[in-house]
Amino acid sequence: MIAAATDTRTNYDTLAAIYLWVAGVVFAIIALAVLWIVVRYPSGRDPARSPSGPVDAHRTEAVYAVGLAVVAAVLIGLTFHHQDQVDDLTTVAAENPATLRVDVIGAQWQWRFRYPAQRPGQRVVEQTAPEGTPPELVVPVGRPVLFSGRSQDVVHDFWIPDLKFQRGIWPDHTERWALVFPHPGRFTGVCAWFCGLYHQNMHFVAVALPAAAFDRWLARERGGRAA
Amino acid sequence: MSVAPRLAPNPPPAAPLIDSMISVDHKAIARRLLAFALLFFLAGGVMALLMRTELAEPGLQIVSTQTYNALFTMHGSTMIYLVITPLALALGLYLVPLQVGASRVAAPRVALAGLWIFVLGGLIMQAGWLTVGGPGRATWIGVAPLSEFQRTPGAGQDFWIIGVLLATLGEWLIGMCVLATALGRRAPGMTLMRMAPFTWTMVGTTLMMIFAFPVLIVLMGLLFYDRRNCCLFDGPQGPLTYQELFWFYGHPVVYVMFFPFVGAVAEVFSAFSGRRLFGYAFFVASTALLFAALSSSVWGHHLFTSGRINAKYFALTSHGIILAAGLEYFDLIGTLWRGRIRWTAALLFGVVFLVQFLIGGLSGIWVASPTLDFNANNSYVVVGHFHYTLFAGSVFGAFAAIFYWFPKWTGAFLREGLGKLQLVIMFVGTNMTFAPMFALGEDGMTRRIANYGSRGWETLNTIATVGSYIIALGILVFLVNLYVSLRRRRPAGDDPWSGPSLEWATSSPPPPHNFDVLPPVRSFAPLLDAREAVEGAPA
Amino acid sequence: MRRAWVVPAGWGAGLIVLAAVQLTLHPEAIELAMLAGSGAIVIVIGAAALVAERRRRGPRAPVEVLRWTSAGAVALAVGVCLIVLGWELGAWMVGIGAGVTALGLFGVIRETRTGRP
Repeated sequence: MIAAATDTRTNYDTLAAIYLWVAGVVFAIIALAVLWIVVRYPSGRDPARSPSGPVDAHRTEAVYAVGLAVVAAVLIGLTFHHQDQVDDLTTVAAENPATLRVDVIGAQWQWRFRYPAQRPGQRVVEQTAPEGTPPELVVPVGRPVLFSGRSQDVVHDFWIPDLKFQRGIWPDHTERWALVFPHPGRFTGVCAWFCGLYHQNMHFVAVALPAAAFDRWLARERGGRAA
Repeated sequence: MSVAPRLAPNPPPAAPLIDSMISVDHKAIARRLLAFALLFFLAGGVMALLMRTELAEPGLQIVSTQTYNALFTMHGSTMIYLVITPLALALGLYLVPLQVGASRVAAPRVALAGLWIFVLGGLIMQAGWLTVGGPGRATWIGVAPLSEFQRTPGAGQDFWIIGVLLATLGEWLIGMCVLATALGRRAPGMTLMRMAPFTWTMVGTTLMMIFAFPVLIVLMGLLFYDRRNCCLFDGPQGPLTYQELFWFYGHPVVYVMFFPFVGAVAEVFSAFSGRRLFGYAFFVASTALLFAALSSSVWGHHLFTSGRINAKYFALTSHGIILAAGLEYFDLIGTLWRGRIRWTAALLFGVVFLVQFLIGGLSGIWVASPTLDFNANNSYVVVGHFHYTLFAGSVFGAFAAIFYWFPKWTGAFLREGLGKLQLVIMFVGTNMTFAPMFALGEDGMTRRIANYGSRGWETLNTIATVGSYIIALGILVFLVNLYVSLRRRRPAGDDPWSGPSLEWATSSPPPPHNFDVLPPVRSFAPLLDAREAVEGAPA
Repeated sequence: MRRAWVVPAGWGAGLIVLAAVQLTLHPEAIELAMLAGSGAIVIVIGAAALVAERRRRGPRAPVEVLRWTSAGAVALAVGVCLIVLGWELGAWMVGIGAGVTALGLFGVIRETRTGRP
């Protein structure tokens, strides 16, 4: 169970900071070692000196190997934990019949978003636009949204960089994932799996409205404007 | 001093040009493979320059979207299938028989057939440029269902499939000969744990190839069949199955494109430090064996964002690379430690490889985490990652190998001054081109797009384009070096660098039967042993 | 020479171990099959190397006789490529390819009769 709705952005930022630090430290160590070698050991400095140093150091290297394994284990543990956050959000959102559901339909080369009926008699809402114009995916702030993605032709990929999240969209298969939009605003979305000639134009815009504003929007869309 | 098995000499060749094309001498075959890889490298490089020129500014300036899609497909396909893989195998084919003290490679006719199957496969792939619809344009993966006939019609895509199939088949045949040589044709006294480090990395490389390359060959056959006869890769599982099979090849191949160069750098470090490789047993265990085994078990990380694979398992094995690579780096640095270092062009390329590849490796651990990969996948973060490993890494390692072994192959030195100039130019150009990509990807720029619109990415893209031209300048310096070194030769002799391994115990270039006399083999650095016996052991 | 088979056999066993680890983490069937299958293939190759090593009678002859060129091998290679290309270009190319392949095969067989491979 997750205590509060975990958004992918915060999840990512937390893990990314750790990985970046580890990478930075490792790079610095190697760079310093190389610098030391450059300064200390060129043959020109002391031509009479023979190369020295041990042929191997099995105990040291074995201890070092254990150290590496510990680092790897820690990163794996953190990765698994953060992975579970993402997966659990989807599981919880799917189990809750009240979660807003949105169908994502990808086709060469445009997106379509459907808000299916979640109570009997509700009108299905469709968001799309002419090819070349990004359609708007309207979503509430702060609440989980459960997406179901399906392609009508080739493999596509639903990526919202600001949320640090993407999911593949496959033909003949429905993929489900849940997202929380932490802040209101307009967020670019792109297709992140090469899907043919106009792949680069297959954009959408995620419009995150404050909860009340979103409820009004959805009610208006469902409320029966003349088709 | 043991006498090497000899090959009885045959009558001299009557038609030298034809005989050079049908020679079964592994050195001749390897030189041909190297030459073709270099030609394909120049072709792939031109494609890269066209792409970078287009990307310098938003909008479309010099090519259509259709052409750009063909360019990135063919650039990637050329570099992976036709340049770095054969380059790695050419090094192995030339050097492994020598390093194990063999008089020839195992099954030389198979290696010869492999060479020409590879060459014809490469030419057929490039022939797609001459077709009406253009060459392959469904990415270097040939991903289904996009690559099916309905979505990507035309002969060009067919030629791409045939080209990949044949090139991979040729490479596989050569790889198997190299493996058989290392395992089965070692000189007396050359136990497994006395093989040179480079030979061990070739063993790891070719072990992975045993099953990975045939999987791709079969997959290409299935894809071709699908384009004629629908619909193998349709249905709920079809496209996923395509990629599961593809990446089962697609991941090991990137290590095929890495291990031989890290092995070459190990040799270069050893020679120019005057020390044998540090921690040999750990190096063999971690690089040749653990790294290779892990590399065969991580392929699903290319499919993290599908949500349809065993993500935790592949994250686990992908992070395991930390152990293998960490040990390898320890041994490489340990070899330079307290050495007596000669700053030749080869050594410099090796040191720069060590630092630059690390950036590629660390960014690899980044994307080994599904949570982080959910943003980085198919963005310029990944493009930066694999160019740092393959270009800033393997290609620099390849130049270290070339500057080190060129005297053995040709009997003449490459010019050191031009080599160092090339290194500096390429160092600047490489980092200018690929470092900005991490920032672009993190900001949301996805790959395989010709027009990135107005998202504020122009400056970094322009810098990257300028960097790519600088790289081209560096390659030009290399070509000049090649020309000058072969025209006005500076003779090198048998062992110009005081190298550690057996290839330096024969003439430059070696005779067809490789060795007249073999020195005794009592360790993995037999020539170093011999030198130390004469001079006294090091302090 | 005697222990060369250890390398593929041992490495293949390593792959089987890595495949077994999948079982602790809800594997997909295809992924388990691919990795375990590859491990098994490599072990089999190691076993074949062991059998070949046991079967070898005595050390290799100190002086081999070998032709320095093989037009047959090149013809075989070209023929195979033409057959595959024929799948795209048509039956006529398959026919040419089959002919060249046959010539190549014939050439290689003849070459091996006059000198060891």
